[in-house]
Amino acid sequence: MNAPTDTQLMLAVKRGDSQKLGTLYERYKDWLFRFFLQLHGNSVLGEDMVQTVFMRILKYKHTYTEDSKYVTWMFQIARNVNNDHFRKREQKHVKEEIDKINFKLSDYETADERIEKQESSHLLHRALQKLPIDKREVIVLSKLKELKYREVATILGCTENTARMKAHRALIDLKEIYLSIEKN
Amino acid sequence: MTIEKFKNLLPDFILGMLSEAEEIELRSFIQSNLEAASIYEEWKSLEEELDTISEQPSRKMDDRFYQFLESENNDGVDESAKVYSINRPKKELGWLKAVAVAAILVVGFLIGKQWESPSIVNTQEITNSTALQEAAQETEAVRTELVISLVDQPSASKRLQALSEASKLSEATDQVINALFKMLNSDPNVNVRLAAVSALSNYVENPKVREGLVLSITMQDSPMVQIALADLMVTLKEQKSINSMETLLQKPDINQAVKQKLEESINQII
Repeated sequence: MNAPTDTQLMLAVKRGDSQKLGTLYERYKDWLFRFFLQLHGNSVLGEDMVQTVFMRILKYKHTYTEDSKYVTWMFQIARNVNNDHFRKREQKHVKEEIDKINFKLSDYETADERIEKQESSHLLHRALQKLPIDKREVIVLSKLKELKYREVATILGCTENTARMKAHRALIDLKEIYLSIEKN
Repeated sequence: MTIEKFKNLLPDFILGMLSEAEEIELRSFIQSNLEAASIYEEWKSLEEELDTISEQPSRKMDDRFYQFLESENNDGVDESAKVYSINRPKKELGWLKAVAVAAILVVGFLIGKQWESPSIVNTQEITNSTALQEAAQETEAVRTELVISLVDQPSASKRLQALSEASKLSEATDQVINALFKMLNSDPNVNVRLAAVSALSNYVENPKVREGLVLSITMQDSPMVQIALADLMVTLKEQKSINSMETLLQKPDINQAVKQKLEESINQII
């Protein structure tokens, strides 16, 4: 018997068979984890975000239709989770800036940032962290096996041609950064 | 293929977006055209790194997910869903996990055989917890074998996988420790060496490991590995590392950032 497709599983989840979410989780947890890990260079945060993605999948299961490819729908949710994290972090940074001025702490470092620093010793991770988030995102998505520019474009909400151009530019920038770190 | 077309397709090639036919065409162009070969050479190290991404989440993430799923069912959030305990679906296992599963089955079989022989063992004496303990030990042994077998693999991603498996071991045998040091001190890939520092940092209570890490400082030529080791020494407040760091500081070709880092580290340890 053939394994059920992603669409079949997600439609079953939508009908109320939440257990099927476990199979989707097993299929995509590594992809999602690497997606977040490469965006942030922080495995603890990556695991939290994977959990949030699956919580949202269950919460918004009614929005899934069989016309959408499951993996692109899931990554759209993953992007939203990531954007929400960034928004919160921005707010937190503003607060930290104020705190720094108030207490004149020059070497203040949050626990998150400390973990990030430790974990980004990987050369590729370090190079990725120097890229703007949108460029990091397009590279990480494009590099995922089975995602072609068409799917990347759907996730990013742009045309296939634009997705390809964005990926090219981001990759060229990444190469420059990577080589400069490697030289040093 | 023209050189312009090659340049246009190269990022697609690196990202794995080309069809098989296009990929073959591009590869043969690289082999036949010097300019293309030289352009591709610049991309090779990045390409290799992008291809060796193999990080995996921890088992904690699975536990949290299944707890969440179970609570969702038990809370009756979904009216149409039946209340049942969640069975984890069969994972799409790689051979590596399959070996661990096989080990558990073998242990189960052996325990089963013991249960069949009342003259040897009273079945009541075998509790579930001992069976589980033995299974865990067997898995640990298989994982140890696996780490050792992956260390000499030509692919960097396999060697990184060995390090990832090593970090899941609750205890490392001398053989594993030696394998990790082999990677730290002689692996050609800098990421493998960095990951080896991280894996070895799990066993710093072992005096041999601490000693090996101290000795390794002078053997490293990559600034990143040197800095990673210096950071670890500061965390451990390892006095014995000061000599090694001072020896490294004497090297005429030392990287300036490393030099500064080592001086700071020595001051922090003193």
